[in-house]
This record gives sequence, C-alpha cells and structure tokens, in this order.
Amino acid sequence: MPELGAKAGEKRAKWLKIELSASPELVDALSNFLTEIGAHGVFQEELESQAPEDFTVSRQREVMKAYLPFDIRLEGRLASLKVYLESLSGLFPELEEPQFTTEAVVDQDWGEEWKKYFKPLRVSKNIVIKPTWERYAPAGRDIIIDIDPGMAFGTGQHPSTRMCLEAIEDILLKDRTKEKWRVLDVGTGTGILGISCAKLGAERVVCVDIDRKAAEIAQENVIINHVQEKVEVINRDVNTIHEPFDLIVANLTAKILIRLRTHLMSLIENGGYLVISGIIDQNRSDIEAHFFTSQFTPRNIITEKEWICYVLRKGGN
Amino acid sequence: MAKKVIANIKLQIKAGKATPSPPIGPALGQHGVNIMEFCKAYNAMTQNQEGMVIPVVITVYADRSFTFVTKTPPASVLLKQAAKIAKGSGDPKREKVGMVTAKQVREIAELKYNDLNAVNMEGAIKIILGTAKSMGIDVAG
Repeated sequence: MPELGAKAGEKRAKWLKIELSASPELVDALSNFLTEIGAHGVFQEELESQAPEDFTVSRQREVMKAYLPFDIRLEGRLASLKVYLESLSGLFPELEEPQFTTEAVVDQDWGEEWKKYFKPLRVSKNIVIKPTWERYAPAGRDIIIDIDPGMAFGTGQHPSTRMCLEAIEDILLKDRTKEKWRVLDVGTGTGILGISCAKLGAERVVCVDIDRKAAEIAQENVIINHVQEKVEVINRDVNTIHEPFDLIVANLTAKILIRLRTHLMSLIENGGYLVISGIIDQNRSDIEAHFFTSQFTPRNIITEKEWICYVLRKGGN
Repeated sequence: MAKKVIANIKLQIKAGKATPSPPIGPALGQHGVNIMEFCKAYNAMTQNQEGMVIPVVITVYADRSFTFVTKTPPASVLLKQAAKIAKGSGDPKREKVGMVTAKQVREIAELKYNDLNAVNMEGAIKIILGTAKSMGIDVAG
C-alpha cells in the first residue's frame, strides 16, 4: 500500500532541542526568553522514580526543555540566548550560571510510545475501534473500525468521540425516515466518525479537515476500512463546502462550533441532524444560546465527565 | 487505592493552541500519554483565554491515563502586560525595556501567590521583582 502520510521526498521538520539548567529564580524569565526567540513552549518534568536525594539536588537547578525550529534564523537565536545568559550572570552573580546543551531532532510520530496502550475498544452497542496493528475477532453484529491515528485526533478513547459514535449509531440505525444518508464530518481528524457513518450504511460521506496531516491520515484510514467508494476526504475549510446533508457531525470546540454555526445549520436538510461535541461544561449555556433555535430542537444531550454532546434536529418531525 | 504516578510535566504553552508538534509531542509522547487527547482537552479548557500563555501541570499515571490542572499565566507574561511591552530585554544588565509600579508588582504577586513557592507575600514579591530584573523591567517607587 502506498504511504500516503509520508510522500517520497517529503522533508520532515527538524528541531533543535535545548536543555537549559538554571536556578529556580531564573526559570520564569528564561522560559519567557526561549518563547520570545521562537520556541512554541517550554516544559519541565519530574519523574517519580527519582530517588529523594536526587530530588534535593535537582531543586538547586531546574531543567527546562524547549525546541527551536531548525531554520536560517537558528544561529542568530542561539547567539542571542548566549548574550542573554551572560547578561543574567552579570545581574545575579550570587546564582549559579545557567547552562545549556543542544541536540538536533527530526519531527517524528511522537505518539509511538502511546500506541502500546491503544487496544481494541467497544465504544457503542455495535462499534468496536481497533488499532490497525492489533488483532480482534468480531462477534455477531460488530462493526469494526480500523484506525491508525498517526498524529490526528480520534481514537474512540476520548469521551467527545465516544458520545458522537453513540449518537450517529442511534440516528443511522434507528431513523427510517431517510434511506440515503448524506453525512458531513467536520474536523475529521483520523476520519473515525465519517468512516463509522459509512460502515453504518450512509450513502455518501464527506470528511473535511483544515489540517493537511489529518486529511492525509483520514484518507489512509478510509482505504484501510475499504470505504473509499462512499467517503471523500477534503483538506479545506468547511465554509467552502456547499451541498445539502442529512447529518452533520462536528467534534470541535465550543468556540469553533459557534463560529461555524450559521454555515453548518444552512447545510442541513429539513429533518436532518446536527451532532456537536468537544464541548465542556463551562460552555454549556453559550452553546445552548447559539444552537437552540426555532429551527433546531434538541433531540438528545449526552454527557460523560465534563464533556457534553448535543444531538439537534432541523424542522418538523 | 490511589493510582501510581510516573511523572509530572509542567508545560508552558499558549491557550487554545496546543498541537502535537514540539514541545508537547515529545514532552508527553515519551511518557505514553495520548497527545491528541490532551490537546483536545487543553484547547477546550483554555479557548476563552487565547493569546495568553496558560501553564499546565500534567500528572501521568502508570496506566498512562493522565489528569491536568491549568495555572495562572507566568509572572513574566503578566509583567510584560503591565509594562505594555511585547518582549523582555535581550540584555537586561545593560538595556532596560520597560517600567512597572510597585503596586503592579504586588498585584502580580497576589495573583500568582498560590503557584509560587513563597513562604509569604514578601517572598512572593521578591520572586516577581527578580523576574522583572531578569527581563530588563524597572520597578518605580
């Protein structure tokens, strides 16, 4: 099978990993400086396996880790870091001098380690999510969805995904008012929701994601699940899609859902459904104020921990 | 029985903008955490504070499940806001780039008090003053 995720000749991003050790007093300012010269964030870690005496030692100095993009500005950034550290040593002669080491790293599948913990999982009455590298013997009516998540969201382990699966299963298997379901999966990630709709009998499924990598991963999963005849993966903004659907499922965040609301609602046929997820408790009233309209009525509200999933239906019954 | 903790990771990242690329990918990936699940949860939780840096402490358990708590923005970021500057000094010993008042320092110390390792308010103020000095921000009064 061709590797769609990593096209031949595709250059992987390179990073320079910086490990900087300094007195605790300087950590905040140094983290800030690393961000200002181009790091997307800084982290520190404490491993519980460290012996207590190691801990005392590590308290004298804290270690910050950050990654700078490996590009033409790198040399200049490192030079400015050196200037900054010298300046700090001059300002705080009583503190130990900060020190750093660097290491070049290539962008990789950072989720590799986690995959060891990704096992087949029954997420609803009929649907079992199975990592491509695991074996699973299906029973009775099981619908198996094979997923290789790469670095995309959607493995069925997150409550927001599970609740969507429960909702779409309920709609597609129980609502007999429509024969040929046309489905739109917004922010498809691994493609898990769109692929599930196809396997639950939908006629046509469109999966969109603005993230190029996610769209590539979704396309791979579509092929792995043999649903390419029904499922189209599109790497575009959903606002560029203009065709009618009977079911739209969008597992995003409250803020993005509210932004896309008018467009999504306009794409749904009368009698069709809108399933929205990725919403946490604190945004409940905001979502309800925007989505409970005269045109759309809530049919089901599913909750798990702090997460909420709404099933809304357009128009009369 | 309490679950066994294998690591605590403190990440300083931008609210609502978590992605699996570095530093989040390698920071969480090496401990077997489901990176995308964390990004989803962090972004949902912090989406109303976009533009701010919201530190987060993630606790990873032996079964690779995790919990996290978000913290107040770093003092450095609050100091830049108070001084109305975009960046700190690249050479704080020689070049000062901004000024804050003692009152603003105290306000930041109060806001950050629970996240700082300070014995009392005076200690917290001292920590904030140190950060201001490291960034080339003078304190008036």
